[in-house]
Amino acid sequence: MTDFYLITGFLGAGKTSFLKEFVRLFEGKKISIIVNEFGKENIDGHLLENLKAKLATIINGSIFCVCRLEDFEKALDEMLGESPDVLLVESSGLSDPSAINQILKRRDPGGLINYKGCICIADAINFKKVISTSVVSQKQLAIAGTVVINKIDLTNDWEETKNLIKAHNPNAQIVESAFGAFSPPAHDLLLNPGSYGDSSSEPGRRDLTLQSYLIEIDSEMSLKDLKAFIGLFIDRTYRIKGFVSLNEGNFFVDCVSDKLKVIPTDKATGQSNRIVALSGKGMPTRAAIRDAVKAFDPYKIDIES
Amino acid sequence: MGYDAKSVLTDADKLYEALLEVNKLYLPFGLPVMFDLQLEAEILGCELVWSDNGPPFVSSHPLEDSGHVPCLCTLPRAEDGRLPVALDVMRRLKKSIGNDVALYGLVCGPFTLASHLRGTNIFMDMYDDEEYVKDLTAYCAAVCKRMSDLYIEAGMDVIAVVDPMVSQISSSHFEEFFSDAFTDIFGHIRQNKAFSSFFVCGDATRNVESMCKTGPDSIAIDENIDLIAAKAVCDKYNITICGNIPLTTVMLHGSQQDNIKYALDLIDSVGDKRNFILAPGCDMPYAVPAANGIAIAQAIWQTEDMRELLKNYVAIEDEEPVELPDYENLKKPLVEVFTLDSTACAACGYMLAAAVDMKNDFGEAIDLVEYRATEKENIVRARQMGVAHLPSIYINGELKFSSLIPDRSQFAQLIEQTIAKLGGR
Repeated sequence: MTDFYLITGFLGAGKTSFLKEFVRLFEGKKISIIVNEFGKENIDGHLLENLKAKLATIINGSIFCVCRLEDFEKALDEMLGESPDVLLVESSGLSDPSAINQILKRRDPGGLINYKGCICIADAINFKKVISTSVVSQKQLAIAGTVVINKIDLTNDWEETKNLIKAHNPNAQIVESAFGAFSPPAHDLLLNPGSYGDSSSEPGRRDLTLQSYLIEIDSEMSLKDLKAFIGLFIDRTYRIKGFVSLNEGNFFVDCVSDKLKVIPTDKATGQSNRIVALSGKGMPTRAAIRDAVKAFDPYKIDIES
Repeated sequence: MGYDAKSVLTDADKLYEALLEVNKLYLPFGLPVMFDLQLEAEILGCELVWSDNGPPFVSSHPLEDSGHVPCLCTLPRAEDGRLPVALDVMRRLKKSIGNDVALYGLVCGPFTLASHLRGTNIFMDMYDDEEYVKDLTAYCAAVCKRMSDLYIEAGMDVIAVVDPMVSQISSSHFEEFFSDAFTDIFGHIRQNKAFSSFFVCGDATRNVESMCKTGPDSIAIDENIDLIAAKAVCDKYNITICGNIPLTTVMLHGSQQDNIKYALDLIDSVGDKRNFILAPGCDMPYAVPAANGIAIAQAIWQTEDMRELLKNYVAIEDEEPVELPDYENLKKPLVEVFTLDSTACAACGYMLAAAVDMKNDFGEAIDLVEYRATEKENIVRARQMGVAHLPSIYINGELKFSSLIPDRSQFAQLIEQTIAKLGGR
């Protein structure tokens, strides 16, 4: 039997930080992890390579999105083929995980999976904004048996976030966390998170307001210009992430909401030099990125949506 | 049968039962299964407002302020939204009456769907961001093709691509932004061995030839287009013309005799009867008396008997005139929107939405009123005003927009000019 955990949460909530802490609870066990990046770059996959666990990354799509489902099911089959003790799945921040029960039923006719439940990570600061604008975040919350309120170190007031979580999912257990870490009393809860209703009976509707843009950065750009370039559209995004290699070195771009963070890293970018911008309702991102590209002409910057 | 519009658009049993009744009463050669251009929009995240006597209308546009082009992975699937209802009824109808009646699966056309997703901003985009309009239209065309596949698989003989918004733009805009998408869709339907039809409503006279060039098997028009002239164009391309019994003046408010006479006159006026389908101009209003549908069927099935009956027919002119506003002495701009029915006709809905945008911007500085042709009194008013086409917008009694949805700045400018003119009072 493989214990199966699903970790969800909206963009920038801190799923990867949580996963890095959570995986420690399974020390000594045979662990497999499937991570997903909606934004077409396997950024979190890079970071997770340091963990001693078998890792599969689904790139270029939402893990439960129909266009990537085949990849997810293939990864699931491969992982299960090796009979791990624990299988952790970190879904993309933009994915609707409602279909998980159906997928497991379909891919696991032999009953090899013991679905332990779903943990949803919520950002103590941005949750209020996210839950009101994003349909998928409501779905992520709805099926979670346990919700982790993350980043409590950044605010003194997360009561409103807690109340909102209860309003959307009155039965969920709540755990508080900073930097994705949690105290020992919460271990039991996290190891048996539980889950709620498969919302597959809901009428199928899309959330077209969510969108990702892949931006190829010119390596000739200076760090100062890169920051200024991102600054032109950062307030029109939920999240910007990516590794960039410039003449001044390698950098990890990691912006949540309007907080610009570009930090040096020793990670190589591989062949790509791309950042991913993720945005949603009320964010005229496409036009903002296009205007930013024009403003930084003649740097060669390509956009793909 | 006592079912309201929402019931038949959400309940497969009721819709199936209603369509069998339609088939029995009207004896049609062709039958649309579900006339609801909001079905796709609902799946794609638009909020709908339902009414009891017409299809729902779209009240929110997910791409209104973002300008995104959605991923193709969001295309509708058979289990989404109300598709299970539509597909179930299609399969049942195919089995029960499919050998005798051509079944029509109606899909929302790419321009109307783009308008549902983007709202009235799409009209500004055609000037400001042409590339976006093309990208979004390509996505909407992919939705049309997916819907066509699902409907053909469920047994539909004809896929009608219904795009009322086509009447709201110039030929050059149609050709620049939408010709390729329609050509692609009709080619796809043909490849899948079904027939296609291009449904339009409103005054799309200027676009008929461009529509023909996109290669549908037929074109369906309403009373805003001269059918004889349109047929001459369609004949050049060997495309069947379908239409155009007036929906409100004849079908909704006319007597049985009016309907028989209209159908006979139309049949007689068409010289070469090949490539001609007699049909209502568009979706029939909810309250059309069943008697009028039956009357039209009679005109087709018992043509000579009906001629006899109408020999001495004289149209009844029993209307009382309505009192028009004192346009010369208004204190502020009065925006009057004449529509077929803004809750049932997409083009009318967007025309009204453009006026509502103005009301939101100008507030108490202007007055706004809508006259729907579903009310007899409003038809009388429209006649007195000389309204030639619906939808139209008048400002202080003067025609400003006829079957062309204005962009925001142009409309606002006209209102500001009117305010300035009235300033001295």
